[in-house]
Amino acid sequence: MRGQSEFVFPGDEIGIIEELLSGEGTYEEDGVVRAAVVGTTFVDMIYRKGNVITNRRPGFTALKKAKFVYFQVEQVKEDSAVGTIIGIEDRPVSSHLSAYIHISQIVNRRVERITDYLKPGDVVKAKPLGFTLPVPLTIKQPDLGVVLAKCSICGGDMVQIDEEHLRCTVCKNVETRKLPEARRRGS
Amino acid sequence: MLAAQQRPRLIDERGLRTDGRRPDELRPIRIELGVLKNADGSAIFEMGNTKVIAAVYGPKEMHPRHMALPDRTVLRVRYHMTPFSTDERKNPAPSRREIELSKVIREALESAILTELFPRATIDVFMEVLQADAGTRLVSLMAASMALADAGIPMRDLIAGVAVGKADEVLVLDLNEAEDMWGGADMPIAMMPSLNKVVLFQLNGTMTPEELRQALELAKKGIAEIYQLEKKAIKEKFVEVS
Repeated sequence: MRGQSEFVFPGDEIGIIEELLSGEGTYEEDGVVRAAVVGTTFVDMIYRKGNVITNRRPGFTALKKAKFVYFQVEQVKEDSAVGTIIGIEDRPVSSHLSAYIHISQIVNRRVERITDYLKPGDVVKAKPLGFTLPVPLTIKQPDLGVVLAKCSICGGDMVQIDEEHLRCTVCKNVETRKLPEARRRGS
Repeated sequence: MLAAQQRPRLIDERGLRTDGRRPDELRPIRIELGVLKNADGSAIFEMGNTKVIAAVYGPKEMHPRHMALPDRTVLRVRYHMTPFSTDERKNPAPSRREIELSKVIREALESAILTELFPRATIDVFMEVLQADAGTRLVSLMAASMALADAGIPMRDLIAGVAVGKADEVLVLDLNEAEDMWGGADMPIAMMPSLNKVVLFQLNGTMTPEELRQALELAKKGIAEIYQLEKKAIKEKFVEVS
């Protein structure tokens, strides 16, 4: 079995299956756990897992360590809002990456219609729940929700008037959204 | 040009080849990773006068979506020779040969990459031959393998490969252009050395069973040498970053 923080290449043996399970950045073949990426070893003796730690996250694997993403709603269906991830944390996404928010992942109470919380065109700060395509997202947490919205009647800019209402700056139309909790003063 | 068309002596009286190498000697190798800014991973692989640049993009969402596979990543591989890579201008349109080599390289890479980790996604691999002097398929494959390692895409092993051939009835390692054109056989082999698995194996020309066995042993020796050079190049790049 390998020691900690050893530099390894794909194919290098980390351990055998009797001593370690295959963790992050590794795979198992014929009873041998091997490195799958270039990186340094981390042998987790609590969970008995062999990992290879790397800072390279190509393509959409950048989602793995992301705390939040920016998601643009394209269509609202009966049970979910579907659209595109336009930014992973503060970095823009180079290729198209589709995602969805299920009706159960909007707020912690019964949702009659998704359009009471999200509308097409909204830019939403959300958190990924998985790494399969399309990417499942949640906005249940208080710091997540719509960060940019346009009026559904005239397309004008909306401004927040209270915890869940926005008013159009052009036609004064008032709409509801799931909005992120206002930041505490001073933070 | 016509004078060069006459068959040269491939092995001289001292037992050396047209470029002065011994029969079991590789050409000089230079590997550099991370040469392109926009790609997720990239590499230049030079083996003697053969030079190939490779770039990797992804994993990313597959478009059109009906082409995506539900259980694994789709690999899209393009092997291409630049018009200036040969002594006479090569038409840049993909030829039958390039399409076939793209397929052969794709199948070799598919056996190395852990494609099942990214279902419904795609990985694009591009290889451009900058200068051709025999062995471009293997150098392209190794350049792609280095670019994948640079990107951080999970793989079973790095790929190393070398051609073995016959020049004037002598088994020679890592053919050059003259040996490729005038030699008796050309057998490119690529392997995943740590796993001792072959990912690409072709043979042009004829060999006796005994010659084939010897050729395989010679190739394995060359592959082991290249594998060490690949690891060295990766280590240099990764240590520089961290």
